[in-house]
Order: sequence, then structure tokens, then C-alpha cells
Amino acid sequence: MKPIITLMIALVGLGTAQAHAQARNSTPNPQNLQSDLNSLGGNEAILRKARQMAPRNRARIVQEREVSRTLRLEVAAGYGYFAGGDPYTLTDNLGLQMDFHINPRWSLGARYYQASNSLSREGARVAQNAVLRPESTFFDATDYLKDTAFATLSWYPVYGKLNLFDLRVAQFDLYTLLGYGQVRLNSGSASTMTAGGGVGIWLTQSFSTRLEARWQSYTDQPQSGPRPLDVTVLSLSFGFLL
Amino acid sequence: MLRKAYFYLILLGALHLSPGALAIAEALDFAPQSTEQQKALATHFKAQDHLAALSQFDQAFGQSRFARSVDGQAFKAYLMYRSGLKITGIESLNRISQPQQMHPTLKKLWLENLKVDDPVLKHLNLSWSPRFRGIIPTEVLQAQEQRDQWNRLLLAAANDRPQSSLRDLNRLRRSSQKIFDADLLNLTEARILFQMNRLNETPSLYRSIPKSSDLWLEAREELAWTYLRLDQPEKALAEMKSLVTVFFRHALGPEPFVLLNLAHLSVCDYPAIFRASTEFKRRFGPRVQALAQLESSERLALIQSALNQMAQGKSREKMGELAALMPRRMFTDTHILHLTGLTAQLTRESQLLARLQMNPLNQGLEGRIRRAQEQALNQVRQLAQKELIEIRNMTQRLHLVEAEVIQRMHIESRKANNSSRLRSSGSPHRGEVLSFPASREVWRDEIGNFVVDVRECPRLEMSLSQRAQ
Repeated sequence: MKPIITLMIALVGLGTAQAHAQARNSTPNPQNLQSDLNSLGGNEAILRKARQMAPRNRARIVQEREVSRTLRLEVAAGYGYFAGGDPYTLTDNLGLQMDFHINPRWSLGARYYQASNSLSREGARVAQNAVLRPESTFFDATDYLKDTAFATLSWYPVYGKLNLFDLRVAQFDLYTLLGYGQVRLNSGSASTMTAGGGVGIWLTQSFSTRLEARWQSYTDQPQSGPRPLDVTVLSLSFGFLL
Repeated sequence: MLRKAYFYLILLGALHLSPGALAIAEALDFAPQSTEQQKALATHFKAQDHLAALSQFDQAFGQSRFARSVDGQAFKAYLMYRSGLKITGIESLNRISQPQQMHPTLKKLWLENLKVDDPVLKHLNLSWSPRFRGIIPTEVLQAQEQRDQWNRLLLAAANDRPQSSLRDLNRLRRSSQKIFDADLLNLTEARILFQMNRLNETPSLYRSIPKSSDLWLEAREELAWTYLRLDQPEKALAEMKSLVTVFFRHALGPEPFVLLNLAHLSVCDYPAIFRASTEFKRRFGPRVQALAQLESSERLALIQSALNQMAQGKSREKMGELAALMPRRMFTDTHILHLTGLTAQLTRESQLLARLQMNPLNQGLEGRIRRAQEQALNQVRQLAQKELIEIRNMTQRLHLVEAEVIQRMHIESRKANNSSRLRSSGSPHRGEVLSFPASREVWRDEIGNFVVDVRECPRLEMSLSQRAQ
């Protein structure tokens, strides 16, 4: 009797297992499956309690720099616009700059700019009057910038990235810079200091661009005597990373 | 008079023995050239106009002894192959029972003209006997041997003999094979090692597969499973964060969501479990509808359109919304890829045969095309059914995870939790790295670069027996 009962139990078990396997592999009814799916996600009460128990785990994105700037030389050409300074002249400059990136945080640089000057509206008005009055010393009194050269130290504390029209992602660094050098004026040479900041965008492994705003100070020599000038220079440059 | 006769005799001889005539005689030294049609065929052959030569073949040789001989069969097969009837030609060659009896010129012609990288060879799953050595390129026979080796190692793994499988894989790696790329070999080795429970050796293999590879998604999912088995749920979560993004919504199956929820369960992140379940519902609800409708006759045209586009070589991404209605595995299913490639080539050959008015052959081809199309359609429907079964099974597992969560929420307390330290999954990158907080918006360059920092699960404040008292 016992063996027969054992056998019957085994057969029932086997049948159940087979039926289960067949059920697992049979195509589900789409409506039943849909309602099964819809019941996922728990009810509101459960969800509220779960939110109270949030463990505050954290997810971050950690990625390498797309463009390495360790021991790399950056050579760029740039245009700068002067704001402030002598009220009678408009100055802008074109020049070359070199930055040696020691690491992504620090770089040492050197810059040389050649200035081009023109009279501002006020300067043109005064100049016109001066032409009509031969005793005017306007033209002798003015001093203007010819070129600038200075060395810089830059610090890049903040980084970020830009989504360029969904075509690619470019990383950038915000930086501050300090510089010291010389300006050549119509009247002679003078020392200059500069400080400012900007953003460097590393477009590819070889191309970069910078937008910069800096304060520059020097003393020029108009006829009336030494005159300290504070100017703001806004510049845009495009460069190669070697 | 004698001199004139002698002159004409020399001229006649010269005409017969001219370089052109000599070349034709050499080129077709295996075929008779006594009749006008046979000579015409020979002329076309010499001029490399294989299509014209093929169209002359039945008239030239008909059911003659030559046509029934090994040389005749091989020659006709060669003309078919060179005329663009590649499948018909190669299959005809393969059917020759005594290829070693082939004339040396024919052997040379086949050896020089059958390219090992001809895509038609991939569409045909033909088996070549060693008697074809010297007729087909050695690489074709070697490739066949390597494919057999590959099938053996997969069978060994499926039959729970992973050591034997690993040995065969290493042998394949050391050989000069070119048919299996390094990514596939690395992925397979990782799977075999996983099966052998040598889990610590698998992450480097999974990580070696680059993002540009078609296997990257699968590799990362399996890597996540490995981390879960190694009790490193934070690393599993870091991998899954990349996979569940919107970029892979059409390519990712339902199983990764179970993995994701198991990983969340390991770190007691219950809100995340419900969020993942909601996302699962959102993604696979419409999918269930779309897959169920593939059974209906209205969707037949859509399936056919997708198969036609696959035959033209279009990828899933280029098919747009049509791809979203099809089974996920359709675009990588080897059987469907084989059938669509075969159908496309057979259709081209059928059109050529119709032009040549070789109707008996063409009828055979048309029948094959219809059968291949039906098989492809059935395979698509089978894949749809399998995907529905998979969704159902994963839905049931997700319900189980939710049930576990509800049970745990009843007995756990959170007091211990907020004070525990964050444990990081770490980053594989060295040196200066950039770190950004993860948000809902995921950028393409962030895929594969997630790091998850998790807290320990809370310990029970008192034991269950104490609670029962």
C-alpha cells in the first residue's frame, strides 16, 4: 500500500511540475499580462511608507577628461577689446598667447598683443576742434598703447561640460589668471599688471577656445603727467593644443 | 599550284593555331568544342562573358555525357557563379560527389575566383567535404572547421562541461581564425568562467568589450549580474544606471529590471524598487500590445517591411518606429539574418534566371524564396511569443520582489540607516577624473561612467523572537 501511495504522490508531483513548466512556456494572454503589469508599482500607502525609508544613496557620473591637459602646450591667437582707459581712444588688440599646462589645474603662459587705436567719438570731436585751433595741444597730450607682453599664471578650479547641439559634448574649465609684464606706449615703456578670469572650452584633442575678461593696469604719460589707467579687456581666442 | 595549296594549308593552320584559338583551346581543354554552339560558348567564355556562355550551355551540351560528368557540372556551376547566380552556382558545386575528379583547369578556376569573404558563403550553411581541398580556398575549409569547433564549445558549455568548452575556446584563440571577433571570444570566455563560478575573473573580460561593439549592452548586463553574485550591489547598480537610460529603451529586455530591483533590494532602497517597477510598466505595457498584435494579419505587411529593410542592410536605428513594434531579438537573430540575406540573393538570381529564360531552375528558386520568407515570418512570430513569455516571467519576479519589500517594511526600522556611511562602487578611471551628480537627464558621454554610493541596510533593532514575545 505504502509504495503505491508514494508512487501516486510522485506522479502527481511530476504532473504538477510538468504542468508548471508548460504553463511557464505557454504564450500568455495579453489582457492578463497587461493587468499583471498594471498592478506593479504598489499602492499609494506602500509607496508613501517606502519614501519615508529612502536610504539616500547617491549616484554620480565619474569620467575621464576628454582632453588631457597634463604637460601640454596651447598656442592661440586672440582678439581683445579694451573698455575704459583713455576716453579719447578706442583700442583693441590682436595677438598670440601660449600656455603651458602643467596639469589640468595650473598653467603658465606668455602673451603678446599688438594694439590698434582709433579716436572715440569724443576724441574725434575734440580732435576736430583742435584742428581748428592751432594753439591746441591735444595731439601732443595724448598717449596710446602700441603693444603688450606679459607672463601669466592661470588656475582652473571649476570644470563642466557643454552639450553642443546634441552633436558632441565639450568639457570646459573656468579659470582665473594673474599676469605681469610690459606695455609699450607712444611715450615709452611701462610695467603692467593684469588679473581676470575666463572659460576655456576644449573642443577636441587639438582645438580649444577661450573667452576671457581681465583687468589691466598701467601708467601712461600724456603731456599732463603720469596717469594710471585701469582698463578692462574682453578677449576671444582660438588655439591648438600640441 | 602546289605552292598556292601549300600557302593555303599554312594559312589554315595558322588560323587554327592563332593565339586566340590556342588560348580558347587551353581555357576549355576540359570541354568538347566540336559543334557551333560549343565553339560559341568557348568564345563567350574567352571574352569573359559568363552570362552569354551560361545561356549557351544547355544548347551546347544539353544532356550529353559531358553535361552529366563532374567537369560538366563543375563548369556549369562556375558559369552560374560568375554570372551572378552565386547561390545556385555554389550549391551546384557543393552537390558534386567526386570533386577530386575535376579537371585541373576547372579546379584552378574555382580556387582563383571563389573569394573567402564572399557574403554569399555566409548566407549558405553548406558543409564542404575535405575532397574539395584544392578546389575551394583553404580558408573556407578552415572557416568551416572553426565554426564546427565553435559549435562544439557552445554545446559543451550547454551540457555543463565548461572546462572542455574553455579549452576549445583557448585553442580557437591561438589559431589564426578571423571569423569570430575578439569581443565575441571575450564575452564567451566570460560566460564560461561565470558558469564555472570563477566570478572574479569575469569583470575584466566584460569591460574589455568597447561601447562601439554590438555586444556591449549584453556584456554590461552580465557584468551587473556578476557583481550581484559577488555581493557588490553598488557596482551592479552603477552598471544598470547606464543600461536603463532612454538610449537603450528599444534594445533592453525585461530581465535587467529584475536585476535592478534585486540590487536595490540588497541595499534596501525600496522607493527605487517601486520607481523601477513603474518604469518597467511604462516600457513594457505598450510592448505587450505591439507583440500580441504581430499575430494578426494586419501586421503581416509591417513584419514583411521590416524583413525587407533588414535584407537591404538597414540597421534597427534607421528603421525608426517600425523597429519598436518588432520583437527585440529579431535584428540579431542569426536565423532571420541568414533567411533575409538568402532571400535577397535568391531574388536577384531569380530575376537573372527569368532574363535568361531558364524556367525550370527559376521555378525551383521561386519556391525557395517563398519558403525562406515564410520561415522568416514564422521566426519573427516565435520571437514575439518568446518575448511575451519573458515579459510575463519577469513581471512575476518583480511581483515577488515587491512582496519581499512589503514584508521587510513591516519589520524594519530606519534608525540605523541614515547614520551609516556611504560605500562607493568606485570608478575604473585613474588620474584626474571629472565628477558630476547624476540626474534624470543622461548625456550620451555618461553611459558606462556611473558610480553609485550606497548605505548599509539597517540592522533589526531587536531579534524576531524578541518581537514575538
